Amino acid sequence: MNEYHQDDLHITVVTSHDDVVVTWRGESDARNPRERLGPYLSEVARKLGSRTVRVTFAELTFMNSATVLPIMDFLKDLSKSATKVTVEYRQDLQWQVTSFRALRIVARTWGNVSVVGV
Amino acid sequence: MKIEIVNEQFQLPTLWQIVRDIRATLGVRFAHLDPQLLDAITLTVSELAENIVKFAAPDASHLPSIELEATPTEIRVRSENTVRSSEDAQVVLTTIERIRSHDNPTALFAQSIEESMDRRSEGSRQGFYQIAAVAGFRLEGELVGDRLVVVAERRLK
Repeated sequence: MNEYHQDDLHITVVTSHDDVVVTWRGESDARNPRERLGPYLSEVARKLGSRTVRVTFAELTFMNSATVLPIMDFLKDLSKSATKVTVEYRQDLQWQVTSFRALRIVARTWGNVSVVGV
Repeated sequence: MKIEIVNEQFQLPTLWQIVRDIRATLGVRFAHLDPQLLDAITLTVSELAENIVKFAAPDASHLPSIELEATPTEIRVRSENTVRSSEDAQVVLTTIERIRSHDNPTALFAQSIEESMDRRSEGSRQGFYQIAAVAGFRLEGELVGDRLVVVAERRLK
């Protein structure tokens, strides 16, 4: 569960005493990320129940449109299982700002999810 | 004639690899541009290329193409491909018209994500919403015979 690697996408899950950090790195450009990435993220969300989770996209350099839905599925699953979810994006990258502005709108009704620029 | 034992392997790139190669080429060819603008161009070209790989009909006499024109005042990306069906093309044209008639691309992108979250198949054409909301390009679509032409334009300040 701790690591995911597909092409140029790397996801790590690091658990500490206080919280869990899920870090996305590289490029997420799979044709159908719901085939492999989706099940992995579902498993991560399931295992992170009752934890404080920080999901950071600050080191993600590219994300195709097909990636958006697995991310939102993941965050929605986390919102149900985790105590608190913080989503971080880079506020000096315009593509991340505009992408996560939309994702924040979608997540607005998920009470324990906050989307913040870093 | 004596024939020696030879083992030769040829690896054929996937169509998806072509999309990656296009992105890599853009990164080199347009390295002089502002990085934020290059990100927007890369996203736009990549999404249009993905759409061609996913939805275009094979047509050896009219290969699909993507043309990028950059001037000091405007970036223009034009994709053209043979469609699999008129219904398929209509999905694209309807999506583009929906985007063009909406005054808040970010809100529309969010709405399209919400609409798609319950779907489990390709075909939501999320990329067009992303091109408008994230990359800031204005879209136009046209069906010319069986050729779908999509133009994405962004004025530069």
